[in-house]
Amino acid sequence: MLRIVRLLIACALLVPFTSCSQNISRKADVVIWHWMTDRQAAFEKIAAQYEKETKVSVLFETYAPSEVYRDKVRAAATGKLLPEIFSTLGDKREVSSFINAGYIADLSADMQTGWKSHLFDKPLSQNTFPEGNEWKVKPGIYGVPIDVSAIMIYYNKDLFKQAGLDPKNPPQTWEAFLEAGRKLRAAGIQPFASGFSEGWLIGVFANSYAWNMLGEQGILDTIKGTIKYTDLRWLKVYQVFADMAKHDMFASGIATMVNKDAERTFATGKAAMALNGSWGVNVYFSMNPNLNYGVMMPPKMSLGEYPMRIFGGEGSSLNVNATSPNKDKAIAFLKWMTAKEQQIQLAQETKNIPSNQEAAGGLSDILKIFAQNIKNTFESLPVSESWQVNNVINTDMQAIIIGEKTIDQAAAEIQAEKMRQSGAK
Amino acid sequence: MNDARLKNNLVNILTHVILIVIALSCVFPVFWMFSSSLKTQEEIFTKMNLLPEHWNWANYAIAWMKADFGKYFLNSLIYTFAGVFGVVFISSLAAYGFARLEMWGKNIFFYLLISTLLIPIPGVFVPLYLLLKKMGLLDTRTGLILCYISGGLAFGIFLLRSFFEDLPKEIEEAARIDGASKFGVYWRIALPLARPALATLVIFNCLSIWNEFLLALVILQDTAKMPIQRGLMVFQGTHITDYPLLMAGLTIATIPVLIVYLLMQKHIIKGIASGALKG
Repeated sequence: MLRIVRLLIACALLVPFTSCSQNISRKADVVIWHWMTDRQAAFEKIAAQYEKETKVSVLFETYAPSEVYRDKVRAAATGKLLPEIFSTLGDKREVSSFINAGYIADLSADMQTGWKSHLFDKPLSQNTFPEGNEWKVKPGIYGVPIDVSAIMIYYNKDLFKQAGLDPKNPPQTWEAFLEAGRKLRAAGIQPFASGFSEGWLIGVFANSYAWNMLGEQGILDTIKGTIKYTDLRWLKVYQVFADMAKHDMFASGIATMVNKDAERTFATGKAAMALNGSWGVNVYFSMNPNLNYGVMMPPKMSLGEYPMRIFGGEGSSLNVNATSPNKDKAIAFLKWMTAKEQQIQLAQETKNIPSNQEAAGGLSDILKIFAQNIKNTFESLPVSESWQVNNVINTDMQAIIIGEKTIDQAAAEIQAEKMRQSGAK
Repeated sequence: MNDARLKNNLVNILTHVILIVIALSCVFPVFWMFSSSLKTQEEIFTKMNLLPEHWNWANYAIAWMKADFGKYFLNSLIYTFAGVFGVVFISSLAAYGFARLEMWGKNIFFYLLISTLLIPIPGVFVPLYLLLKKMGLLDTRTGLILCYISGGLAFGIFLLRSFFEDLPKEIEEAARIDGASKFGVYWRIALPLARPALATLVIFNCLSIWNEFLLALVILQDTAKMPIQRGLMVFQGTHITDYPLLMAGLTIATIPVLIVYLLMQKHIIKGIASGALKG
């Protein structure tokens, strides 16, 4: 008996060793690494269609969660084993390091052949490095958006009606927004939910008001250091959170709420409004198909001199491996994938906004509103604020929400961090 | 006398109530997982009932097919079996050496080895990736298993060394007098006596390798070689999570670990108890 067990153990150990001498072989002409596993079926369909039309094989490999995907891409880059198409999933600083290392192809010449004109400008500009950019990247277009997104405020029409609000006319001004919050609270409804424990989402909301109060030049001047974070206009931005807290607008525990919880809170009718991205349409449908809702821009502040802007642009963008022998095939595939027909197909299957503006006509009413507001998303800037300063902004806004800090204390702290980072530079 | 008995009974009842509450709080997530695996997505979010309205057993079949569990299940079995075998075999040998053999710098090597427990796995992704590439083991099952084995060695050696150190030397000396070699003493005397500690090590490594996913995702390119956790990720998208299928998949994935735990339960309790007595 013992001998049989030993034999079995030996055999089991031999099985994995049979793959010992294998090398990583080319599995398809174009291999694409993506991070959205829920789109695997749609991607496979597209790939099969392309192979049928062109005889070029395309393989989508999805790896989630996105943090591990990023690690995988970084490791593969170091080992010079990147696939034909991938994404760094990083900010411009990280993308620039890949470009400067020669891993990402410049697509400017291909874009000039008419490809560019079909795509939304904003997501394309987010993949563009302009002249004189701070990362010293050769000016050009380095990524292709395959879908776009924007972040707006969703509102539950039934709960609005219940609180005596007009669901056809959501609040347009800051004062009307606060008044709507008061009425909702009086009706026993939590007015506003969002994943504010996730720093980026609270930052998105704060940034909308920064664009409203300071405009592009004001934001650039703040990054350069000529406008301080203690400036009156910045204080107005922080006041947004203080006002909402004062009017009891936030859902319970919002400062520790992750976006998945906020989505569930809104989808189950436990909050009347939610700041969320266009992907929310798909999420809410999966959680509660009968949810009756609309979307609106974050309401403008009366003192805001500049147009209201929202976070958005590229939903997911892909880069082409500059070192791949099949680089041209990869570019040809991306051109085909972002053409109108394929974009309509992808948008329908994934309930997202396509990156090809000609394909946006067939979207649902809600997604159409998102698509129309892509033009109102933040402009792509040639410089960016340090992540340390952004971190302090995000955590201080959370502190304002829970009443731990005043807006003056927050302003002083943010400015102090700015000074520290400027000194460090 | 009656007062003392009453007091005793009250203490007993209170102890049992506390233990029942703790046991229920441990079992509840498992119950919730099972219950949710039989619901619909809409029901999970809109209804707070403990039991499903309709028992959707089909979720299990759908989860199995959609996530390609058949393939991933076999992979995970191979990784877990080979990984655990490797960890137990190598760490028991090394631990025995650290406990019984006299050599220069023994303690330095031991603490150096133990200090590797402090390094988080994501911190070694890139160097590990490059090392495996150089060895031609990237995207191979062997490469992944070697990583699992090396990842489990430090804890295994740490755990087993203290067991071997506490074994009575007289038994080993008697075996030596009877003509057993050093390896013979290890294999025939020390190893069987360390069975409770080995069982604990098997369980710990079974759990960690069976549930491991990050390393596999970075090292493997071929989805056909991925472990069972890759199957579960199919239901967990960036924005949308298919909870009923995810829960059905999790229930399926939990079964082998549960079986191993039940088989080893007796030894684990012994191992923990003997560890406690030592302290």
